[in-house]
Amino acid sequence: MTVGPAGGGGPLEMAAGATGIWVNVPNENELVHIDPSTNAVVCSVAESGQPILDGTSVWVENGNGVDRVDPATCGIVASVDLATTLSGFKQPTAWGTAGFGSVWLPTNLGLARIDETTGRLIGLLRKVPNGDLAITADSIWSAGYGNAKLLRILPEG
Amino acid sequence: MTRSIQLALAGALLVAATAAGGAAGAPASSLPAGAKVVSTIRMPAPADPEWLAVDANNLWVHGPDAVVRVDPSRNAVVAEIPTGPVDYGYLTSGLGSVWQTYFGSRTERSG
Repeated sequence: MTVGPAGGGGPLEMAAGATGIWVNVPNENELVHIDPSTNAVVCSVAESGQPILDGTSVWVENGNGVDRVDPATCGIVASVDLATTLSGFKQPTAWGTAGFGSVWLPTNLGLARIDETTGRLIGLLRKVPNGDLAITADSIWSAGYGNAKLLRILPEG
Repeated sequence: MTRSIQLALAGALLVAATAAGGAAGAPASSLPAGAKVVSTIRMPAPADPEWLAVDANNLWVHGPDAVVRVDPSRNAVVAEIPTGPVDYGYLTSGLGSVWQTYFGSRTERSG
């Protein structure tokens, strides 16, 4: 199925979960929600960013933080603006993930922890380099791109 | 100048600086960590970690020349799968395999 322009641009990051398939299409400046049972586009979020699925909601990295999206309507229902709440923040990377009741977002200041329920920034683990994140049963793993190290991180509090 | 007046002036200057576009938001040092690093696993050179994937028992790490298999129960690298140079080797797992994209060329199946 086509969800963006043909050629060198078009679909980039993708995530799959209980709410369906979510595909970032930067050239169209939108995040497309696909129903895998019908291969049909359900709706589209009017912004481009990496999708992060937490089981019930979809979060979209937006350059200044993340927006929370209602998967039924693709409407943005909440925003977490780290650029105004965190001094020295520049830009999140495209490696966010969700787990342990939180959205985890690598930033230039460290690993930001956002409460899934309240949307509040509740933690910042400093000295964690930018890198892809993965979740296992009890841990968050951070790929320390550029320093040849893999970090195992346990949530606290 | 009394201390209370000094504090009032400092507060007014801070408000003015913020309104004028100065530094805003909480300093990073004021936040709790919310997590802690419990292990650091050094990747075998030159496998600088970039992308990660997980399955039921393993963590898979993409480096520029290999996919590295990590056993989370041991915090240890247990295998290296040479792949040759890969610039953007996004990983995922499923159907009993690990899948890696080769930016601009092909997708490879490992494991």
